[in-house]
Amino acid sequence: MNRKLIITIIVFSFAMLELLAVRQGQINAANKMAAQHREIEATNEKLNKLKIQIEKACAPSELQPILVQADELHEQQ
Amino acid sequence: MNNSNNIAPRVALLFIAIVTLLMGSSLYKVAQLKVSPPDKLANATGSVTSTTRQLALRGKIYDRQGRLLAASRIGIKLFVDAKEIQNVESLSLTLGEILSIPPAEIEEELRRKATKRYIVIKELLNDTEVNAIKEFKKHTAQRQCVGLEEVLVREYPHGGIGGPLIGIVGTDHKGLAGFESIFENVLAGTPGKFVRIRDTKKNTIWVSPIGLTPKTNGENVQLSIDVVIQEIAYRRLQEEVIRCNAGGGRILVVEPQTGEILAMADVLNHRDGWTQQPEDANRKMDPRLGRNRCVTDPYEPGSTFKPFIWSYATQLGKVTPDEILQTPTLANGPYRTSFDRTIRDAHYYGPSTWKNVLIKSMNSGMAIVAQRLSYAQLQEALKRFGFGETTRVGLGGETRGIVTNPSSWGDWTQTSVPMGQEIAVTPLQMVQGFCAFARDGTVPQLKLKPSTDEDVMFIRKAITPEIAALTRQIMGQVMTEGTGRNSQSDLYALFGKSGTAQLPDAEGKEYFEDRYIASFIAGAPIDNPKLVVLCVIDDPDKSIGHYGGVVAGPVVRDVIEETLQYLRVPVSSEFLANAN
Repeated sequence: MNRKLIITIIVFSFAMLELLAVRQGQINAANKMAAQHREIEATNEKLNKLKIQIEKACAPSELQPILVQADELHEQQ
Repeated sequence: MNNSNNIAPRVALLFIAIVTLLMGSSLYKVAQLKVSPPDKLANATGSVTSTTRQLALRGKIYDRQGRLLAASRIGIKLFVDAKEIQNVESLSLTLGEILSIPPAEIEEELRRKATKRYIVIKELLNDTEVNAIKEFKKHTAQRQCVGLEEVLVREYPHGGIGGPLIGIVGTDHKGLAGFESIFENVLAGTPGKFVRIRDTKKNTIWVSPIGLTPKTNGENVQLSIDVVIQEIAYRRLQEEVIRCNAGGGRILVVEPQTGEILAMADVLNHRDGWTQQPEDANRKMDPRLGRNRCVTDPYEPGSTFKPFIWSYATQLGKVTPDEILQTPTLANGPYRTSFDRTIRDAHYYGPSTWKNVLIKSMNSGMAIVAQRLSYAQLQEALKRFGFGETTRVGLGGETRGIVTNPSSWGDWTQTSVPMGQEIAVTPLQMVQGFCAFARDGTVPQLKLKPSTDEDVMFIRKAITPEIAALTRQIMGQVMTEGTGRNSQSDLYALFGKSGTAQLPDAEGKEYFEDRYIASFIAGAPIDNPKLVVLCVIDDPDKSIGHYGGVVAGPVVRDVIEETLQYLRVPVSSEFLANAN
């Protein structure tokens, strides 16, 4: 009877430890997901900023003076 | 044997006792931490959940080629919680160094608002400043008082080009003017929120599915506007307004086959010492808040209006293109109507064909034929081309122009309207009506979004395809033999008409004797029109030039040339032949 009780307690303890390990694994996964989500958001935002910068640099009003200069240079040559 | 039998139960009891004791002490510790945690752990055992708000990005606005006209990004705002400040001087000094703001200014602000928990120090930080602040927060005891907050920032990569057209958003990131306001329902996003369970280091350990509202970014909008054409139109208009010291100018570029608006610009030029120039108080606050005068402000079209009445009278059979009308010579001019009204022409050519009346822009000829039409027929002509009603293009503040009420219509109106007087139209109405000549006589629905083959539609049939082609051909001669000579292109065959109208005074009752509205409208290429362009120059300096063909015409020509080249439309064959 006592032997059975000891075995039950030991098995139960292992089961609880396993459950704790699973729970910790879940927490770690959630933590990692949140961190990766933040990273994705930050990268998207960086891309967004870059797109805006590229558009600014390629705006006709920016390119026009460069084209005029290039034409003048071409004519001089 | 007996001994060993006696030991086992004892060991078991001891084991159970130890396990029970350990579990009991664990439960006690949990209860103690929950009910009365020690000071050291009080912070860590506080609320373990926090609600995080997710900013939803507003939709982007693209031009017809997919170029970005407006986009939102997440910026960072710096604020200070005055209650948490330990040392104002050192905090001000550090923030001042990072943000390049005089520390004294920050200190004064912090002292003045010493009881406030949210003091904005800088609305928008750059990346370097954000990193420096984060670094500062890591190494200072005052980290609790400095906060960084995410805010939405609207960017307009093309700057002022098309500014009032695209519009602006307010501090709440909602559209206040232009396309930003028109497409608010589509562009606006819905912010999201989620509840997360944190550990003591504020790391997320769980996101609760309860209370999770995902953010929805706004939808993107693509416009019919082409930013390159917009830049061409804006630049050329601005140059001309400055060159002739005008009060302002407006320009519209439309693709006549689809009705798509490719460019629309409105420039104001404040001139010291001049009165009556167009004003717009909103533009002083922000140029993007200004009203779009292409949509809101009607003007008297002058002779640019003649083709509409010319074509309709011809279609009704009241006159034929080769019929000779008794227009006055220099000796017997000006022309006097049957009701004794004097109609003056810029030049007197003597009896002329109906065709020449349009080519030479003769008011007398228009008045002669107008008297052959009934009032109802002339009113029908205006209606067919869409004058007196809005274009329903969807731009805010659009007006219907001014058309005399049928009950007040008399002989005077009957002879004024065919010359483009006693009528006011918006530039939008003007280009919409003119598109009929560039098509098969039908008036298209103007559009702000690129159209597909399926949704091209016309709103009414104004004239027959034959009359449209004939009027176009006569307007081609306007460019070679008439008032459009100064504006003829060396690359493309244009068809168009100039107009010069007197400027009405502020009350709209009298006209200035020496102040004008010069306009020019044209389409090209004549055999397969791809563009219709209207330019209106408001109140040009007469000492520099005031005729539509001289002031507005060259702008239209340049815009057509540059735009057609950009659109890779081949140069007209006759010009190629001449060049060879």
